[in-house]
Amino acid sequence: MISKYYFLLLLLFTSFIVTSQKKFEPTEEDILLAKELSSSYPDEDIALLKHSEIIDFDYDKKADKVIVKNKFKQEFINLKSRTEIPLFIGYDDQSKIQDVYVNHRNGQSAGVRFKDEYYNQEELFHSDARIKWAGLNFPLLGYKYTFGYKKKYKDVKYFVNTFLDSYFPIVQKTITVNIPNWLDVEIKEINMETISVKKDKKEIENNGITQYTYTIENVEAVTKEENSIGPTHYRPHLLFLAKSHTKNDTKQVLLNNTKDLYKWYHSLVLQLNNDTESLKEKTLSIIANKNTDEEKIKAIYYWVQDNIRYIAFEDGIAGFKPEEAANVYRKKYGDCKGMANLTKQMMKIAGFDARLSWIGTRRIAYDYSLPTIAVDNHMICTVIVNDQKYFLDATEKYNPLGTYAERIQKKQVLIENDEDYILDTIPSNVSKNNIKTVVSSLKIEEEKLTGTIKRKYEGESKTDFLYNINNLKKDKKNEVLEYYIGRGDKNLVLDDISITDISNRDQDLHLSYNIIQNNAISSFENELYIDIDYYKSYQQLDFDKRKTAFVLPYKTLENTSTTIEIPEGYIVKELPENLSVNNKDFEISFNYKSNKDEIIYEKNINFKNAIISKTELSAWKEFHKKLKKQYQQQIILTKE
Amino acid sequence: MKKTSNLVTKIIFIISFIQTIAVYGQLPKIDNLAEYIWSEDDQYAELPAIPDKWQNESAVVILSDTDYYYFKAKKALNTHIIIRRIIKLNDQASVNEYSEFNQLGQNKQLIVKITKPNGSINIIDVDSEKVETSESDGTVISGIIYKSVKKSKLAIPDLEIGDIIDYSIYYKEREPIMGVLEAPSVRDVISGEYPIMNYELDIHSKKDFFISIKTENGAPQPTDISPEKGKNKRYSFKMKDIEKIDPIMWEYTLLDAPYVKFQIALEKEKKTEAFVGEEKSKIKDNVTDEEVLNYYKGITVFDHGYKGSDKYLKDKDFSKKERIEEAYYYMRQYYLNQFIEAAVAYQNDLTVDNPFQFYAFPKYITKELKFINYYASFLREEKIPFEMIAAIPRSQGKIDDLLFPDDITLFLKINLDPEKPLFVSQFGNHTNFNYIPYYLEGNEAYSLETGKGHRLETIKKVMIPVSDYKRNNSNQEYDITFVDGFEKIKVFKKSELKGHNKVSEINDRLNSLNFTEEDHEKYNTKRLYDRLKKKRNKKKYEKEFPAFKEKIVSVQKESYEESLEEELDFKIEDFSFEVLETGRYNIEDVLSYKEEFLAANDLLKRAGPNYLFEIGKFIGGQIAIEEKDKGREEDIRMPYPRSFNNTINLTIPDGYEVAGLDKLDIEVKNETGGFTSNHTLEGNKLTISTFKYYTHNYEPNTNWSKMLEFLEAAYQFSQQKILLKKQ
Repeated sequence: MISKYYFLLLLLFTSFIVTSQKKFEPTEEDILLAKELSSSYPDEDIALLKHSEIIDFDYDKKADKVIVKNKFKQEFINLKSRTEIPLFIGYDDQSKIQDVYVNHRNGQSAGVRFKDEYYNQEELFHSDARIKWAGLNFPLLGYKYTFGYKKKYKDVKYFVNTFLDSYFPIVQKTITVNIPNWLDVEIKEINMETISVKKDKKEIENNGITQYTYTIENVEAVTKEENSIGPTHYRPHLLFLAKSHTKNDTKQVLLNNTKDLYKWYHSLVLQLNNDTESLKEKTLSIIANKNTDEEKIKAIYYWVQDNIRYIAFEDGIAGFKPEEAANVYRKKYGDCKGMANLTKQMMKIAGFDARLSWIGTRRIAYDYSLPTIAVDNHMICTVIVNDQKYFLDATEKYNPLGTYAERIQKKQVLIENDEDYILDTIPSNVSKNNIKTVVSSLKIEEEKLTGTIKRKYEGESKTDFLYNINNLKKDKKNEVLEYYIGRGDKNLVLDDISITDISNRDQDLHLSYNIIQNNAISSFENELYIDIDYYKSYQQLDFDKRKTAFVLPYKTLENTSTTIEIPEGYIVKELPENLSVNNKDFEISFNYKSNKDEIIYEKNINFKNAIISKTELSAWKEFHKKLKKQYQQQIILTKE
Repeated sequence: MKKTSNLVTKIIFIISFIQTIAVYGQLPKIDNLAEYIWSEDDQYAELPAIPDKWQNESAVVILSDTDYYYFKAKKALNTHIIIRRIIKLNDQASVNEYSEFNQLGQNKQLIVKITKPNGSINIIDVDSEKVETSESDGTVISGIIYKSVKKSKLAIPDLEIGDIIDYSIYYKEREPIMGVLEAPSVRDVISGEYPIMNYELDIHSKKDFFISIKTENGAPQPTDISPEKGKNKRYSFKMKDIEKIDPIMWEYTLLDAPYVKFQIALEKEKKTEAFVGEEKSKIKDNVTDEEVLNYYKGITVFDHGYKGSDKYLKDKDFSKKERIEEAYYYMRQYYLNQFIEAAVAYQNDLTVDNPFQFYAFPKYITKELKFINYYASFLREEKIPFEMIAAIPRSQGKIDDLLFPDDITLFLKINLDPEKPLFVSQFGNHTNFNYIPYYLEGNEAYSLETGKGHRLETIKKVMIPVSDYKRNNSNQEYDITFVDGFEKIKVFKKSELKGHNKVSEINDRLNSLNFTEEDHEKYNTKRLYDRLKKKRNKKKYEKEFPAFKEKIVSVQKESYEESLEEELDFKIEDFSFEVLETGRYNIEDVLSYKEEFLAANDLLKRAGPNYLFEIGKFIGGQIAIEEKDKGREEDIRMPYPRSFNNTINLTIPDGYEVAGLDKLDIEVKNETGGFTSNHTLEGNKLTISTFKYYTHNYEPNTNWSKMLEFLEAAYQFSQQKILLKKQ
């Protein structure tokens, strides 16, 4: 219904703060500066004039922990007529926020009130992440505020990195790191080649502190783009590796190497009581009648995939410590660690050598040469049979044994091995294994194309399809399948849809149907114009403004072949020209041929690495222009 | 000061309420919800088998049971609700649907029991399984600290396909409000997205409460199952074997689906906003004409002594009709729109002091009844005969089914010329005189009239007229030229909207700033800026208002650009937008605006040296009726009769000629509506005109095939291409 009023809230209260506005209003210089910045960053509303971050380390005697004090001060300026932005500060059980303030340009408090709430993310059912947030209103061009706070980490282990750039353009930013001489911290500078940084190192006498200063100037805002690769891959940042400290004259190792990291992880695993009595009966029933090792592994792996719901929990130490397998089994839900642990314990009951394994998905740029908790974000289970390792990620639904999701392929995996660990790498897949094949045999009937279409899905294209279709309402499956194929386009009339067993992840998936495609042919005078490619795949992948790599869900290979019978009395007057491209990330070809009876159109699209890298963005942009033109081309038939 | 003390009373009252919850007889203690629901005599301790016909459903509701408890506490009426659902989950989609429960709070209790296919039962320990989700940290507003509210959510453990989930939620409907003597009315639609085996609804009332109940579309009648002794009164509704319903286009659920509606009231007084029966605890299942009359007699005041527009109308040489029309628009300005600037300034902090304090005694009308009282008083003073019409929206049923006053919309019928009555309904920012809201059109309604005095005295039923499709019109004209060879198209679009088509868009097209100026000028009312006396306010407003305006205009432009892209289904650039006429002072005036843009030529297909141009796309996306919907069995209920004119002017580029024009001439017309199109070609100017119209707001199902004829024709036109042939 139409909303009748612009104002419903006509509350009359009179507690307005009376202050002299003039002290807050932008000066002539500020306005000039804002205009200047706005011409440099025309798409931005706000810029950071000055941003300082100071990192200090201290020792908490009582807790016997090295702590980190991180102090922020940011000066914002408004580049547009009026802007509102959210301010937020994230923290969790391992950190504390103090002394938050927002001041006007004259230093007087702006009276901004922060709310404090759990940070609810869609993909996380529950976590200890919290935010303090407030809305900040810049009423005029050139308006300024200073925003500052202190964040304290209770344990240096949880202080992992800091980024140099920001979601606002930066005029000047400094990061100061004060490292006391009793602490061994390595600062890794990552992706620094993408930015111009002035570095400075000096000893502060009497204090026993080495001070590192990083200064950047005039840096563009980080672009927020969908299907983006993780920020550690491309954003300049400092990674902190706190290795040891010698407070009280004794050296105490923190995370000096991968072994120390593993030791800590393993210590959490050792805290589990692993009472798996309740899983026994189920496990044995799952593997009953299974003869070979592989059959048994498969049976348990698929059972966990199918019967345990993935629900993400990240709560304090529970963000690192797996849930007891018996609990996951009882609840039938768990996060990756819980699911990995359940898989492990069931495998052990079945007599296998099964181990928990830590892994960083492709979102994370680091590998296990870096002893930091930021290196991984995921857990799977590794089963070792003789010399063969089976990597089992039960969070991946409909994933056949022996295949691995794109997000963990080629990633290092840290496998449990008592006091030690084993480092291995998840095998990589090639796009050929994920092939989707579409074969169409069509005829022309007036202004329609009619015929049959056969589709085949393999590998991850199949996994993806199975996951989606199995989550649909049972009574709506056919309807939705029809919608999925026809995209709700009235021009497509589908019939006789048949699909192979959607509960079997080990077989290729076949889908076939009859089709009538209305309005596919335009006839003018003696000629027929055929729009042969209905789906025009990747036409929407427009990277005009894109700055970062584009990530695809998996290595994609789509081969489509369309045959159209030439109607009697017609000959081919013109076929579109062939088109092809081949580079590091994608290989695409369009081929058209004809004989007197039929036209054959073949399109092969291969995204070899499941990514269009930043270096290939311009190649895609250039190709995309051709692609759009290609899809506009019509096949012309003329009367003999 | 008063506000604060009210709130304090309310807080104290809530605390005492929580403590005494167990006192009210029938009501179970919150702590014992599980005992109450899964008691020894629970009929669903053993679950019935699912009928074969529903084995393939996503889920089947075995029991849908809702209990409403009403009781009096401290002169207010309280409502507590217990719902129980038992659902067999047949697929992953339904398991996902019921696997998480959110928004649990202190006053919302949940119990859950899962029955496995082997019959084993698992009662969920909600308290230990739930996790906290959010809490407010005690935000301070106007000196009152709101208590922090903790909420939690629950992931249901061990829930699998084939399980039966049995859950119950117990909550308070709203905080009791002192002096409000009726509970909110309830409409419970029985059918839903899953089929239902057993439906039960129970109303737990008291013998000394008033109750009205009515059931519709085949819903069951209430059964009185009150205990003989004591004060309690209980009504029960039971129904079995209910098929699921899928939402479809052009349909009102309440006209087809079975539902139960009811309301409880505490006392029979004038201030009760409910139709109250003669006898306590006797079901009232219809509202008589007399009751409607008495109800409105009690709350209307037509001798208001309204003088609001006197000053404006004075010395003006208006006819009677002009006088009442001008008075309407003046009132819209005086009681509503003149405060817009203050509201905008207040919400966006554009003045130092509260801007409302600069209006001597700000009087604004936002309530329908207040508007009716004011305007009817004016008509009486002018000695112009009128009727007050009390109508219910078509989507909610017929006037004979009326049960609750809050379903009623009021407007006035002015009988200056009995042959040509004029209509007036409550004003909004842009509403027009002589206008009836579309959702009332075509429904029967009550007409109430005053006698010699100012009191309403007579009541009768009348039919609300349905507007003409020609009056509800959108007229769009496109001028299209190719630029940069065939790379891009440049488009100039002008839109003119009238009637309901205007009303549905006007709030989006005008912002709160581009009409205040024309109103101030016309009515000589004082701008907010001129009301500001103190320098600090003036200075702040002077600077911040233009900045705010600039922001609003740019945000609005972006949103128009997006909506145009959506309408045309292609990307546009270099977009500009301008309102030409606001159409705010006369129902016959159009709202008109122009848009200009460049578009990459996604509508062009290459065919050798020639081009195919998808010209049909310019009539906008057309309704596409899929094969499966062609056999529709329901009647067709649309918002209002309406029509759409489109003119497309295309300049044919030099060196090209155009072919395929014969396909652009279409004519499909019948009594339900039509689609026609025709073209002219003069030199290099191709002009295509289309007209699509829906004659009525309702068509019986038997006319569906006729509607399909013109809907199909319009769709086919939207797919039409022309050939630009190289000469």
